[in-house]
This record gives sequence, C-alpha cells and structure tokens, in this order.
Amino acid sequence: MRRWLLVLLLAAGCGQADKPYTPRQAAAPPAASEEAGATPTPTVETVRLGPELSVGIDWPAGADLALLKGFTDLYLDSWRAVQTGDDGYLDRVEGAAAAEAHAWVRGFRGAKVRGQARLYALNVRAVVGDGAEVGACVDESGLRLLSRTGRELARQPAWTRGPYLQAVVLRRDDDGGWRVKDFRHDLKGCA
Amino acid sequence: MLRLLAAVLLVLDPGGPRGEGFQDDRTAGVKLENSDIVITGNGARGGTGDGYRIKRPCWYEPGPDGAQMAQTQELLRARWFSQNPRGTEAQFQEFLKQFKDKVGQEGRWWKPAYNNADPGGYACWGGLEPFVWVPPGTTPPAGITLEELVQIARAALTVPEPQIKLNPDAKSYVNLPTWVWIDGIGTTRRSVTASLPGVMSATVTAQLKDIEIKSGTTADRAEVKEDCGSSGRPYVRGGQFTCGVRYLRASIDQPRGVYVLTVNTVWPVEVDNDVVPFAYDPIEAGGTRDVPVGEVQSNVRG
Repeated sequence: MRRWLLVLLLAAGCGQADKPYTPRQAAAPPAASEEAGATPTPTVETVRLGPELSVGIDWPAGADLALLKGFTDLYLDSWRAVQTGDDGYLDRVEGAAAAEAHAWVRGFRGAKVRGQARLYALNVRAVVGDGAEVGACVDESGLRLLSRTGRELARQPAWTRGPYLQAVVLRRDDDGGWRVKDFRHDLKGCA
Repeated sequence: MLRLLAAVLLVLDPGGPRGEGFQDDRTAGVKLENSDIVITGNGARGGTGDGYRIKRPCWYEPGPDGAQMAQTQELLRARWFSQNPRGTEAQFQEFLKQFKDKVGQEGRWWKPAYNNADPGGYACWGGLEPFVWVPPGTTPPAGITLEELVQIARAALTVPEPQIKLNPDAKSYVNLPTWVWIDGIGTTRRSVTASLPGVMSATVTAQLKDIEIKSGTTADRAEVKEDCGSSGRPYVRGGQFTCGVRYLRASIDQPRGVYVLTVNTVWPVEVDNDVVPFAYDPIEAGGTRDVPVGEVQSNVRG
C-alpha cells in the first residue's frame, strides 16, 4: 500500500499508454477497489527504486491487477535487492524460480544500475485452476550497468540494447496471493 | 570458439531475461513436459492436427515409491538450498521428513506434468503441487486417467495434407469433366498410442473414409460428382466420370478468372478397443486448387 502512496499514476485514455511520463499529468492513485480488481483505464505508473533508478509500468485497462502485480512486484523487488540488498523478493518466488531469482540478483555482485526500465504489454496469458501465466515486454534500454565504484561500464550487457518478452508462471498460495514458480523468456517476443 | 566466448559473456553479464527461452507458437497438438508418457504411432509423425485440445492440459502422473523418493531428495540437497536461499539445515531436515515418513509404506509419489503445446498447459502446471503422495489403488485429484490418456493420443493424432490432382490439370473447359483425386497420403490408417509404461495405454485410430469436393461456385455453374471412394478417382482414358467437377460456365467473370476448387479428406476417429466411450469428430484436412475454365472454341468453315 505504501508503494501506492509513493507512486504517481497517470490517468490516460485509450492509445495514450505510450506517452512519456511528465509530472503535470500525475493523477491520484487507484482506489482500493481498483487495486483489488482491474484497472478501469490504461495507466502509466513510475516507481522510484532509489535516487537513480525507476521503473515505468504501463498498466493495461481491464486486466487482473492482482495477477499482474505477482509479476511486477517481483520485478521491482529484484531491482531493490540489487540496489540495497533487501531480499524481500524471495517472498514472491518458490521452487526453481527462487533459485533463479536469487542467482539473478547475486549475479550483480554488488554492481548497481542507473536509469529507467519500462514494463509494457502486460497481459495475463492464461489462468487454469490455481496456476496462471503472465507476460510482459521488458525494456531495459534506458538502464546502464555501473561498476561497484559507480562508474558506467563501457561494455553494457545485451539486455540494454532492446526489449524482450518475459513470462512467468504463478501459483495461487493458500492466502490467495500469487507466487512466481517459473520463468521463461523470448528475446524476439517484443521486437 | 565463438560459442564459448558468447557463453562466457553471458555468464559475466548480470541481469537480463530469466528462465528458458521459448517460441510462442502454442496452439494445439502435444508436447509433453515432465512426463513419462510415451507417444508412438504413424499418426504422431508429420501431417497436421485439427486443433483438438486436451480438456485439462496438466495432470499428476505416478512416480517413485517412498524409498526411491527419499533417496532422491537427500541427493538433491544442494538444489533444495538453491531454491530456499534463506533455508536452514533444520528446515531441510523437516522437508526430508515428509519423504522419510513414507519409506516402507504402500503407495507412490505422483508428480506434475503438462502439455506445453497447449496455450494453457504451462499455467495449468503452475497450479499443481511439486509432488503428491498417493496410496495404492487411488487416483489423486488431477491425477491422470485413462480418459485423459485417450485425449492426449487424440491431440497428438495428425493426418497428411493431401495433394490435389486434377485432369485436365492446368486448365479445364466448359462441360469437360475435371477428374479429382488425391495423392501423397500414404497409408490411409493412422494411429497414435499414448502409454504410461507399466500403468496404462490408449490408442486412437483415424481411417481415411471419404473426400469432399467443393466446386468453388454455385450449383447452376458446376456439377459435382462425389462417388469418390476414399481418395478420389485418378483419370483413366475412356473411364466413367464419377468423381470431380463438370463446370457449366467459364470462369472469366470470377475473381482472378478462376474457380477455387476445395478438396477435404475426412478421417473418422475411433478409440481402439473402446477403452473409454468416446465419439470424436472426424479429422479433416484439405487444400484448394485454382481451376481456370474456358469456353470451347469451334471454327466453322464454309
């Protein structure tokens, strides 16, 4: 909930989801009822993860927000872990996905990133029983990998060069929340 | 060498996409994941399916007994700690206890599997537990049944795409019989068996029974003969015309100046030995050919 107080949401009409964020367009965060269900209109949210890192999220209209947040919260918490060492992201994963998420964070070995990432084309690809698949385009071309001393590295990783499709499969836990159980990706899925 | 270099760079680069890569071409058919089910038969290779989808694209299958599972899990100690980065030795021992408690008991551990060719298969698998203990003679909720094994065989069943043969081949004429038959089918009986070794097995069979011809125009412009047998009647000089189309008007006024003739093969499907009472729609596979039809020109000399 605290995150929702911190974030700025843009109320946008159809076809406006791609507009870049400007503070003057900031609108009130969604009401609690909207949080629990679906966003009535496409909205653009910018989540600040620190002084130099933020993530823009294009929320589609009408999608199952609880399911999509199963994906986006893990994405945000993973970057938080990279920046601050907070391992809260481990509460959002299980099984093989926990091992993979942990290895992903550890892979930075103390290095940080700077800039803005963007999540767009978020969609619930399937819901079957207590399982679901969610996908999104991840554009990290606005990020730069820094050395441990904070200098931008001359050779940037491949993921800074273009968007890719990241999919996750989630399992509904006993409390009704969703935890990520597995990851898949397609490098050309968002080209 | 380049591949090695690329691999090294990938290892050195933190971040980026996670998980295995996949091509998002899931529509239908069968691609089993985490499964011991074996698919065999001439109907499982080549050809095209008809989009049949298994009703529930994930399930539990019988796996190891109590002793085997306990031994395996003890050996996977490193994996457990990688999947539980905050885990302690005491928690690992607690995790192992559920398996040790089953050693010597009758029953098996069942494990989740799914059809990755189904658009909902991966999500469905996500909702299953990693393992379920099942006493002998029982099937857990979402446990594989013979009925589902039949569905898996049915989803894997394909038939070949027919090559449409015509005579005359390149162009036909008003009132001239255009003979129709199909080629490239091979055997007209195609089967798929889905087996869970040592547990159960199911076979479905498709038998080519019929072909259907559509002239591509209205009945007042074409006459269709459909005494075709299972694969049409190849042209025989002086033979009786029973399968094909006699066009009654030229195609000059049609889009692109041709009639679009369609041929469908019809393959009724049966479950062998009626192991479960099922009535499936036939599988149909077909194709089209453009048929330009001209007027017969005659010159009268005085």
